[in-house]
Formats: sequence, structure tokens, C-alpha cells
Amino acid sequence: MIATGCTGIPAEPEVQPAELGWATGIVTHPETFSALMDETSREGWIAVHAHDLDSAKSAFAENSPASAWASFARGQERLDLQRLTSEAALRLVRTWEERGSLPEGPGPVFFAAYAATCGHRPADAWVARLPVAERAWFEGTAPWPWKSEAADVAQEGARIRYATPPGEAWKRPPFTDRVVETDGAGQTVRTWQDPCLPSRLAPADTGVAHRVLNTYEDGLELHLNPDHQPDLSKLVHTLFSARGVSTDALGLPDDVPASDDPEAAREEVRALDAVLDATRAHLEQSASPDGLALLQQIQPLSRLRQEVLVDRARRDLRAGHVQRAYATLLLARDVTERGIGPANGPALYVLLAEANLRAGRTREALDALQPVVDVIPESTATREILSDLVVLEGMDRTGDSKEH
Amino acid sequence: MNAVTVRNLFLLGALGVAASASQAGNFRYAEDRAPGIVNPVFATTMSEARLNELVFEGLYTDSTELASEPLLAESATLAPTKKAMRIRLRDGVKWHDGTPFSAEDVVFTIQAMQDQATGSPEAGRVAWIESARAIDKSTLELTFVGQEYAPEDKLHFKIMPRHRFTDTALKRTDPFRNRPIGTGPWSVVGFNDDNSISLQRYREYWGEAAIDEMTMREVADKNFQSKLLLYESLEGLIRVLPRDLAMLQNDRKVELYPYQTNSWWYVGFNNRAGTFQDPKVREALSLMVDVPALLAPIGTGDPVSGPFVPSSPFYNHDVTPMSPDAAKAKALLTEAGFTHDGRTWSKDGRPLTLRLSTLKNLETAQDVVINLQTQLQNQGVQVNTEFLTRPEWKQRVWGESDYDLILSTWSFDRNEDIYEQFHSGGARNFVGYVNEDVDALLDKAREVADPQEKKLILREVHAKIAADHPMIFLWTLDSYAAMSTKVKNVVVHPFYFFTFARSWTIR
Repeated sequence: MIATGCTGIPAEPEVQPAELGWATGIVTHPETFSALMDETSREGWIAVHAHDLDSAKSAFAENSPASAWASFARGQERLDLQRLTSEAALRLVRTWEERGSLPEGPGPVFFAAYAATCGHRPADAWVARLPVAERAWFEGTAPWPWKSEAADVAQEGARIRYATPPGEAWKRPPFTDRVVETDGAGQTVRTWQDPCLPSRLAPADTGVAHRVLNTYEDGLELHLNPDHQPDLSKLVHTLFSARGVSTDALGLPDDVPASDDPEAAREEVRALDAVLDATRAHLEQSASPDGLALLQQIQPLSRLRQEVLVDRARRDLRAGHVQRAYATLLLARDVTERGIGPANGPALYVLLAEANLRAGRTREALDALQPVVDVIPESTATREILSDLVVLEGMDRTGDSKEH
Repeated sequence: MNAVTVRNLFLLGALGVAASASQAGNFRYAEDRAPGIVNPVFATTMSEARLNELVFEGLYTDSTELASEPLLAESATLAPTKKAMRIRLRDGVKWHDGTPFSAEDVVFTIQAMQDQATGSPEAGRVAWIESARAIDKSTLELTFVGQEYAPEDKLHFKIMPRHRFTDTALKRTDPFRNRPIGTGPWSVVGFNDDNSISLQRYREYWGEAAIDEMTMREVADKNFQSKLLLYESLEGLIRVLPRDLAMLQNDRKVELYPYQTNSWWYVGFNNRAGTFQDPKVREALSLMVDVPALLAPIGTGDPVSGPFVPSSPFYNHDVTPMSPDAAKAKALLTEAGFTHDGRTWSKDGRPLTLRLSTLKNLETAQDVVINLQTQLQNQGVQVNTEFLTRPEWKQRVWGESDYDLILSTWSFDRNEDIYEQFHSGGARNFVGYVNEDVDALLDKAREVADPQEKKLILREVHAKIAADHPMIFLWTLDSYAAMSTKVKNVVVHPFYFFTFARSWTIR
């Protein structure tokens, strides 16, 4: 029995190191990891490690499991970005309407209906407010233009710019970041950022994932469920991700919590850190020189930590636990690395932006999104929609500024 | 024992704190420099704004979702014309000396801020109010200059106690500055010899606050702030030195919070002075400065090309931060009538010699000043430096425009309203910037109701100001606050920091 000391406070039980799937596997079996690199593409995995999935997709052999893995992850990024974009777009129109200054005409309502539809939000109320002729897409009587489009936005360059010619309201070529609302005479009324750009791009990724991973479910989200994972090499399947490591081994509760308690979320992160600290200490003492080198260079435990926390934050956001998600994401971020790189992935920032937005911190959502805009071109549209919302929310305020 | 340890112990001793666990219920936080004045009507610095947040209250405040919610107000009715508002005040509110709070206090505060004799830098926050009248002790009527859709969003300014002043022409030197009373959760109980300020929970506070004591400690040497937190001699750090981030992140007893991200550094020209009235001179000096090289020793951040941070809705991404260009700088100075003798630039026989002023204790400013001085001197511009106390800064920079160059920072709340800094009539425009087009755009930005239009107007303002070079825009730093994990329920306001401190607890 461990002594409690003179304070009377029971000593906390010592945390034991754990087997943590790929994160410990590549340290204890560096030769397996090395073989995988040689069999697939070392460049590709380096890009995955750096959270540069477009480069990874290019580096891996077409239609290979590794390529499908990268496509799957890229699709996930876009789904996260779409959720944020739809949330921002709907808040923009609602807030504008509540303020009583929403521009007249069907444009804003179409924008909201469009954003709701591609974000899998209720859209009926918006669609019902549209002129009958404008409802065709939403009622399934006309095909969605983006359903049949497939291309890679990266080819469009770092900053996408496009304006539809007058008279082409809401009809545009694929993969632009803005659409133009015109009046009956073809004059531009307003330029809107496309609130569905991420989801319009996602089919290119999900298509690869579907084809190569041999799954039949319609929709990438289903693949997030481990029960639907295809039969792939275990290491490829789980490398640099949270999948394949049990919550029990990580010292985390499995159930979705009942309440949105950020303090409980922080305690969970501390429990995870205790397991990771103990595991890291154990590996540092027991690993071979090659394993130790991988532990130090790749930082697999830090990577696993963020992947796990980001996954849990995503789950919390979907359960409506915004404060939990926000607390978790703040602790997930490695503040010593600026922007996106091996230590911080785009998903962290996109979800942090969503948590900020849903917590009412719209301006801070823009802060969180900025590193993503630097590397993921389609997020420019999201930034502009969020910017409009920030400006709108501050319209009736007097600003404050101070020195130092 | 090594030198660092000896210095640590000396510092801890000088602060009068033990390196053991903190007292229960006492939240101690560090500021680089103690507030020079505790009076919200004259607040110009962040350390003052933070302390005011503990002591004073407004009619409305931010909820944790950053929407306006009543604080000293209980309810309000906006007239159908949107040009008047009747406000019912909260009952049972007392000032820290026990005097009941009333509508007369609100009327007094508005009139004092509007009184030109007061000269409040906060006057712009009440300029939209046409009149204020107390209907009775608990009811107030405001009329507005124009229509207001959500006036509660503008009623966050702090209310002052009428009974502590003789008239509405307030003075910075009024004894109130170090004997302040508010209606907030904590009252000031001591300005201590070590420049710390002690606050205690006000027992008759109308609401609830969990922490018994708050202590603001001045820790001028920023290198030691993080160590004090690790030694548990502090519970909070307002801004972590960037090089300490890794150390604090790896400590399991500390958590980091992003804070005050709408903040940027600049070197301001005295645009009223003869030398700097020529835009060629301003641009030439801007081209002599290697901003990334100045930034590297002090931390991590992003260079900025104008008066907004890159994540701002108003930041114009088509305007890129300036890059050093010695050849162009030479050409511009030559065009401006300066000659170069191989070592020094001169005009009319007088060498180009500038005085660079900054505040003492401005975070890591000394490094920047020395590097900037070296960069300019290497290109033939002599630079003398001076470090001013806060009163000297107020008098010389704000009051008398007695400087050539200043190194300073601006921090903005989420509205990022630069009107006061860059409008020719702005209360904080002490660099003396004047551009009629920018004035017109800033005026228009305040009037438009369309967010997209406002965004585009201010992006244009960004471009015009950048082209005029009224200052050298430097960078925005990565900013984090650090808190002990003993402090629970922490939500940090992104600008005022302590807005939600009433809900914080200490384990």
C-alpha cells in the first residue's frame, strides 16, 4: 500500500505505460515501420506526418491503400471545414435578419438554404421562402451542379478568384470560391462566398476512398465508425491517426459525456497525459537505438495525443458539447509550433474555429482559422463568410483600444 | 547554487512571497508594470483596463458567449424610433464605501466622459449619446444622436461614483486615482510599497464572486514571471514571454489560454514634425528596417502590413508587409533632399538624427530598440534612444508630441475600430496622421449597415494608410496567458481578461 503522508490526502496511483498501437509499435518495432516506408512511399508518409495531405496523395501510388488513406483524411478535413462554413453562413443570415437589415431579394435566403443543405442542416424553412422557380435544386427536380463535378482545388492555386459573368446567378463552373447574385437585368447585386465549396470538393476524395477501400456506404462520415473500416494493413490503416488505439489503453472514458463540462474535459486530458508520460518514459528506457531515434524524430506520442483529442473534440461538437470541445482543443494544440506542421494539423484549427464560433467567439474563430487559410485554399471562402459575421456582430458596438 | 537560482530567490524575497503553495482564495497575477492610475475615464493601457474589470462595472457586459447582457442595468426598453432608451437599474447595488448606486451615477459618468474639460480618451464611447436623464433613483432615460439598433452593445463603459467628485470636469490627478471605489466584485484595499495592488472581495457585492483576494503584482523582469508561476508564487500570467511557452506547456500544473490577439507593434513617426511631413522620408526609413530580423529575438508572430492583424476581417491581404530595400531607401532620401557622405545622411548641413522613444518596461522593447537603432545607424541615420516613465510618456507623446519616433503597441477589442488612431480627429491619433480620404472612409465605415461594405471600406483604409507610411507596421505576436490548474472554471475574456473572473474558483 502506498503511504498517504502526513497530509491525509491519498496518493494517486502510479500510472502504468501502455501499448498504444502504431504510436508505440513503430518504436518497439522500427524495422516494420521502415519496411512500410520502403514499400509505400517515404515521401508520402513524411507529407502525412507534416499534415500535408495533398502532397501525400501525389506521392503515393494511385489507388494504393496509402493513397486512399490520405484521400480519406483529406475528405475528413473538408467535412470539418464544411461544418464550420455552414454554421458560419447560417449564423450570418440569421444575425443579419435579426438586426433588421438583411438585403431584400432571394439571394440571402438562397445562400442560407444552400449552406444548410450541404451542411446537412434543416433547410426546409429556408427553401419555403424562395420563389418557386428557385426551389428546383432543393426539391430534387434539378440536379445539383456539384454532384457531377470532380477536380482538385489545389490546381486552382493558393488563392482562388472567380466571378461569374452577369446573368449567371448561382450557376458557376466548379471549384470557385464565390458566386454572384444578379438582378433580372443581369447586373451584379452582391457577391457571396460559396458556402458549399468544401463539400463540393469532397467527392474527389471520397470517390478514391470508396473505390480503393472497397466500401459501399454512401457518405464519408460512415467511415469514421471503426466498424466500417475495410480490411487493410493494420499499420497503414492506423498510422498517424487515433484509430486502432483503444480509449481504455489511453485512460479515457469511452462514453459520450452527458453534460458539457469543460473541467471534466480538462481532467480527461490530464489523465491522457499521465498515460503518455509514463509510456514515453518507459520507451525512452527500453527502446532500441533505432526506436529511440524514431521516438524523438517523429514524436509519435505527441501526434497520437493530438489525434485522439481532436477526435474527441469532434465527437463533443457533434453532441453539442461546445465548451468541452473548446477546452480539449486548447489543450491539444502545441503552441510551440506556429501554423500547420507535424505538431498541429488543420483539423485542430478548423474544429477550434467551430468551437469558438458556436461559443459566440466569432472573432476568435477567425484567429483559429488563419493558419488553415495559409495552406488550404478552399478555406478562403470560409474566412470571408466568417469575416462578414464578425463585422455584423460588431456593427452596433463602440470599439475599445489600449496601449501595451 | 548557480547565479540564476540566486537571482530567483532574491526576487521571491523582494516580492515578499514564499515559494510554497499559495493561500486558498488568493489569485495573484503578474503585470509588467502596475497601472499608473485606477480611473476608467482615463484608462489608456491594458493593465489599467484589466484592473478596472475587477473593480468597476458597466450597465451591460459581455456574457461568456460575448453577447451583451445586463450588469448594472436590470432591463431596458428601446423606443420605436430607436432614438431613445429607458433603462431600469439593478436594485441593491452599493459602491465600495457603502453608498447606494443610482441613476445619477450613470448620468454623471456620461456627462463627465463627454465634458471636454475632462479630456477623456474614452469620450468616443459616449459620443453617440445625446442626453442622459435620471427619471428616479433606479430609472434612466438616454436619447441618441442617431438611430441605434442595439444600444446595449455600446453601454459597456464603466460607471463612476458621482458622490466622489465635485463636478463633471474630471482630472487624471484627482485623488480618486489611488483611492478608487466601484460597484464591482472586488474593492481596492491597498497600493503597496512593492507596487502591488491588493483587492478583496466586496462583502456587500450584489452578485457572487468566489475568490476572496486578488493581487496584482508588478514583475518588471518578464524573464521571471514564468518561473514565479511554476514556483506557485503566482496563479496567473497575463502574457507569456514567447520563449517560455514550451516550458509552460510541458508543465502539467499550468494551462495556456490564447489572449489579446488583436494587438500589433509599430514604430510611429511624428507626422507633425518637419522631417516626417515628407512621405518620402517616412517610406525611406520604413525600407531601411528589416522587420523579421527585429522580431526574431523577441518571439514568434506575423509581420503586418497595416493597422490590422492578419486574421482581421479588415486586413487587406493584397497589401504585403514591407521588405527592406536599401537602394530604394537611398533614392527616396536623395529625392527628399538628403545627401549621403558615405557614412551619414544629412540635409542642409545637419545630419539625420532621430530620437526613438519608448516606455520603460514595455515587454522586450529594449531588444527591439537596440536592434532598430543598429539597423538605422548602419544605413547612415543616427538614432538616440530614450525610455520614458508612464507619466513622461503621457505628457511627451500624448500631450506634447515631443518625439521623433516611438516604439509602441496597440491592442484592440474584437471590433478593431482604428478610428481614434487614424482619423484626423481621433483621440488616440498622437502620431498626427492626416489623410482626408481616410477620414471620409472611416466616417463612412461607421455609418454603413452592410457588413460586406464595411469590410471592403476598411480594407481600402488599410491600403491607403499603408501607402502613406505614418508608421512602420511591425508585427502581431503570438499571445498566451498562463494559469495555474488550481484555478478552475477559467474563461478568459479575449480583451478585458477578467470579465468572467466572478465565476473562477481556486482549489
